[in-house]
Amino acid sequence: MAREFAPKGVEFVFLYTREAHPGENYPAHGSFEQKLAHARAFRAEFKVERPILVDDLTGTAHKLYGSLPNMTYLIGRGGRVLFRADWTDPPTIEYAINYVLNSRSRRRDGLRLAPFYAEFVGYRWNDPAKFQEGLARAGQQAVNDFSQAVEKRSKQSIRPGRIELPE
Amino acid sequence: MDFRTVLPVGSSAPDFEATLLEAGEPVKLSEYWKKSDVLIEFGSFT
Repeated sequence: MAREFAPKGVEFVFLYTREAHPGENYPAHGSFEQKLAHARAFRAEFKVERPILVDDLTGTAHKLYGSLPNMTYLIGRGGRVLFRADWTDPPTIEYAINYVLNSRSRRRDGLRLAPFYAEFVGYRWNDPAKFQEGLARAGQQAVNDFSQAVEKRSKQSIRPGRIELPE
Repeated sequence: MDFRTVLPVGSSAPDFEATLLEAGEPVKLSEYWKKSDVLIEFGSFT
């Protein structure tokens, strides 16, 4: 997708944050060098071609943008936030970028357009088996921590701000 | 949750400096949005 949109003036970058599910194999970063090493491993494992920007050890960038583990932001040329989501889902990203590009093209055709505010419920592809594999790769501690968190969450009522919709 | 209240769409994206992995050099996010739109994904190995 990065390659598809590059000639259309959209650059894709990855911001490397703290470990979302630290485990023995990939623990929480004790040093910036360790964070860089994890980022390199990530690049190799997932064959990432996009530029990888590694956040500082205190998570400055991560916090500025909302601290969630896998957010997406589309920032327009000039620095305005055009789209943001609390997860990353490729079809959704494609949809959002095309929306912006199409709006610009309508404007170029001579239509007067004014910005407005909108929100929508996103749907992301969810593969629990693959997710568990990812946890196991991080280490047994990550597997245990996650299952404890699920246990705890099932005992709580719906968290404020969380979207829970029937399927 | 923090994400819901921080940075609504339409606001100015905050700038920051991070380390570009390939170069080992610092880079500012604004360098990217000066030239083009930028799609940023946040994440980690785990």
